Amino acid sequence: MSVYCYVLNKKDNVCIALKDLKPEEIIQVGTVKIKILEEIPFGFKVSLTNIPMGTAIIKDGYPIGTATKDIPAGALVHIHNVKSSRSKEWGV
Amino acid sequence: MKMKTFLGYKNENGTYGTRSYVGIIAATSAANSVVRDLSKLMSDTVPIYNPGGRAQYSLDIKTNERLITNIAMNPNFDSVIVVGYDQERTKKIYDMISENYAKEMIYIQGRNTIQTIADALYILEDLVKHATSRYRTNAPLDQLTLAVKCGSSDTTSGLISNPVVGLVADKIVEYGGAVVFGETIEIIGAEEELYKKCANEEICAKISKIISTIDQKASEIGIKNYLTSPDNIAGGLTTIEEKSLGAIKKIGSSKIIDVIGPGAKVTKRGGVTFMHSPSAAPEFMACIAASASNICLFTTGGGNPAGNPVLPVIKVTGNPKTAQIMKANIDVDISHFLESMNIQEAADLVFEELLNVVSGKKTSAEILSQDYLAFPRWGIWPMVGGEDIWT
Repeated sequence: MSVYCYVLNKKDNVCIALKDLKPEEIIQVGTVKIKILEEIPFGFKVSLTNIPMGTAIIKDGYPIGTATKDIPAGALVHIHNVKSSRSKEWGV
Repeated sequence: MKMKTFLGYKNENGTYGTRSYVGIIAATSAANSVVRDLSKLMSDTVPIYNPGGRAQYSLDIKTNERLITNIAMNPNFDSVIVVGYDQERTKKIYDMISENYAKEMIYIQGRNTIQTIADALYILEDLVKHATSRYRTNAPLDQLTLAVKCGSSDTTSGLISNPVVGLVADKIVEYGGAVVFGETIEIIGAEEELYKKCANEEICAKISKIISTIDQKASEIGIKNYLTSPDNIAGGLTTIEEKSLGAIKKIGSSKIIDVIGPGAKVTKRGGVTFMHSPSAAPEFMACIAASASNICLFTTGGGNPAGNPVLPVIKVTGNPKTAQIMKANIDVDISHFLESMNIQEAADLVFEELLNVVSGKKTSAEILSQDYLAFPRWGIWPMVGGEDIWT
């Protein structure tokens, strides 16, 4: 069991991986244990709960975007399942 | 930590430099080649190239003049020589540099390139002798103008390196110094948190006007995404809101007491100034050289190498991989604090390095001659924020 996922604010529904996390790995956040569902590289976000489509992703106490699909607990939270409320689409 | 002074160069006009250079300032782009040649021939000089300055109009010429002359008045210049092509333009730039700065000028027209270089070298020899004969003396920390910047941001920027730099910024303000930040795009999405830091309603209104104009222009033009760097995404940042919330941590907990335009001087001490400015490093660097900043703390997740020829730029990273791979470009590695998240201890390290650097220690960017400045493009959002911050 590892604690290598950092929660910035108690309101948050994501934590930040402080090392590469592997599928099946169990992380403990407070008293909650979460099973990692997929490869999560260092620095990327992990869902702490089930986040339904259309729900705000909360990091550091603020909404940083909206879930574009249902995100189960323990999943990678990134551009494939989150959209910004201030940008319209992805591009470079 | 109790040290309240640094070793700086006291200028005759009362400002303090952290370096003592001679600036070779191009009045127009036509003088850039001569400026380059002079800087290669004379040590301790800094070439400031001008991308324009001729056949420019309105906002273009106004901002070009403001940038080039405010850079010339940076406290790190013991003196400057303005090099131009024609007499009129050269004299205009020369005259815009205040009388209480040591300045000379020379123009190519009527003299030719070879003669200009020869004549300028004689002038420069005297200026460099003066600039390099000065001694550092105890200087109060309130004479520091600290620019804070993040580049090639990743998750570790908002998590550790920006909060750490924020604590150092608090310390500078506590000592009565000035802190300046900018990168307008990187406050978008973090307005709620940022507005808590405004000293008054007027400050908030000014910033809010800048952001709403950018939002509107972006929508008109069809810009669909503010988070444009692939390295941000590769570093774990998902949206502009996330990036901005992390970015604004670098200003610390002090109040924002002024809002200025790109290339304007910071004039208020004991607080934070917001400068409407681009986030691309070389463009932001030109703006802070003009702002009278004499030190910059630059956090980087991915290892952005940019520096500044006018003032020392200290690179701080919280990313352990970057600290290793980009070791040559990093001054302070705080990645080992990720586990303990002891940001106060990390801030002590950064503050100590800052005191060393402003007292003469060279940064990685200085040693590696990372000295490229680019003048900002106004392009798609001219006059954002209104006339008052541009003139």
